Amino acid sequence: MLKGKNLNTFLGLLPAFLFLAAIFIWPVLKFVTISFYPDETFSMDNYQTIIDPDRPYLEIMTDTFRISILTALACLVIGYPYAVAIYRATKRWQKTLLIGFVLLPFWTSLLVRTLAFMQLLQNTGIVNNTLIKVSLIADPVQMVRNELGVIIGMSYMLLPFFVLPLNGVMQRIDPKIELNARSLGANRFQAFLATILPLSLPGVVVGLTIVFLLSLGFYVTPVMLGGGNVPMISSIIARQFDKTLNYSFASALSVVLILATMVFGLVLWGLSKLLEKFTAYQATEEVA
Amino acid sequence: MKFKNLLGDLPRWLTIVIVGFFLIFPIIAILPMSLSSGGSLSFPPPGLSFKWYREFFESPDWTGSLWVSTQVAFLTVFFCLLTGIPAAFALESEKLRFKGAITAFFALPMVFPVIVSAVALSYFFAPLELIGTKVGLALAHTTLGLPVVILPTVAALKRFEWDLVWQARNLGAGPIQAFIGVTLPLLRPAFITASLFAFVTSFDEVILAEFIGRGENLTLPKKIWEGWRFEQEPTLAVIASLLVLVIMSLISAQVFIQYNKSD
Repeated sequence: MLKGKNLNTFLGLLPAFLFLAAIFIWPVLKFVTISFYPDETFSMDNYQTIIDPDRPYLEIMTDTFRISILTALACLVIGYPYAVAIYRATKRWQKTLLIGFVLLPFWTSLLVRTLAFMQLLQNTGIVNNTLIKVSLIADPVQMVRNELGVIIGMSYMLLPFFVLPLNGVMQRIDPKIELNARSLGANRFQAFLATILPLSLPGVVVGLTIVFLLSLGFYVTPVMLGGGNVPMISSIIARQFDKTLNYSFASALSVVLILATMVFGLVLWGLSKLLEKFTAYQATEEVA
Repeated sequence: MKFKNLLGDLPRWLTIVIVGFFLIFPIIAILPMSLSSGGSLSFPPPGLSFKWYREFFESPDWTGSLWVSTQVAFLTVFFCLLTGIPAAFALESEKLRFKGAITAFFALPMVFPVIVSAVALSYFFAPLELIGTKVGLALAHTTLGLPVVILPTVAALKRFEWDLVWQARNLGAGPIQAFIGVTLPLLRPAFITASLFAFVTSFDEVILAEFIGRGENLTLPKKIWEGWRFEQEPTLAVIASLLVLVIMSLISAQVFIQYNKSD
């Protein structure tokens, strides 16, 4: 029976458990069920509407996936070199500073940063002005109220979610491995390709996964930077709920989003575990 | 030798400068935007003036929502601490199995798409007449704030020296005395950190606020969200700067406390 310490532990968890059950689990479950009841009777009509090729929803979903993939790739291109730079930093304060740079946007309001971004990316904004001044482009590039703007904005907001897990993995790479490769005759680039790169791959996959999954459901940035021209699942859910008051359909869309997130999450998590097995060296495990 | 090293490090320095700039610049740009003497948001601003700050603080609408945000954030911290601290203690107990799964359970609202939580909670709260209330919004924010409180507290408990409590008991203190006299004070930095994180999470949250924080009590982010399409005045940048300043000072306070801990 529950006695002494066991009872205390149970009681300690109870408030939080009850709270989440009542204010999160139960409402979400309740909301999910109404997707099956567009009218008073049980039907799969909502889901049929979503996968109907004559309706826009299928295209919106593929658009969302595409934008999320591009966002993840953008984070990869920007974030991987930065993570390598953190890895290469020799002194502790350097590492702390670089990681601090990544965390700083993380802790300043999302809304604020998106607003600032909107201003900076305008056709008359400073980014375009600078690019024109240095003659990289002749006319302003449209970077707001379009897909490019959304991708730039989301990759900026989600960059910490890529760099931090990747850095976590890279921290555990034993520097001696690269040294060994160099001493065996490889130059810097070859050593990097043969040692750091494969060992960092599981971290890359984790980072890409997190960014991808978060992009799927991202709301604030795509709505603001998309300006209504870039519908993603999240904004459609909001519109169906708010403007059309079609709660049942909004629920169905939500279910699709949740399922997609779960499925991709599991698949990509499995992939990263697989990669870990293929690229792990003995030394890495010893360091950890 | 040193010169050669520098050349090889050039890509690395370039990366740091470019990415670092990319990360920091939008945040820094907000401040000059809010000091603009012009009539609309622009960067760089045509001139510098404090008039938009005056306009913000003289407007009962804006200062009202600043107050609402603060109240909701305090309520959120209260709910989070009330439910989260016992949970963190429980998670530290050796007798507990499935710690990973339980922690994941508490972290679930954070990894769940917030838009879905927002509409689902909005649907659930409506018949309960919790929409537009500060308590209702605080309850919603607490779902996001719970993991933010539990995780640092668990980390602090892991580092905690239970020996000190044992010694106090040895010297004659009763269990409650030991708890109040030894455990709590030593955990104070962790509690303050957890509270600050929960406060920031609530203060600057916009999606839940959009759907649940409707009606008369608008939080600051909600009010910005309402107006960003129309009001491109520098007032928005003022609010943004204030949000940044509030959050930065809270984070700095947190960092300050970290470094002053008697560890």
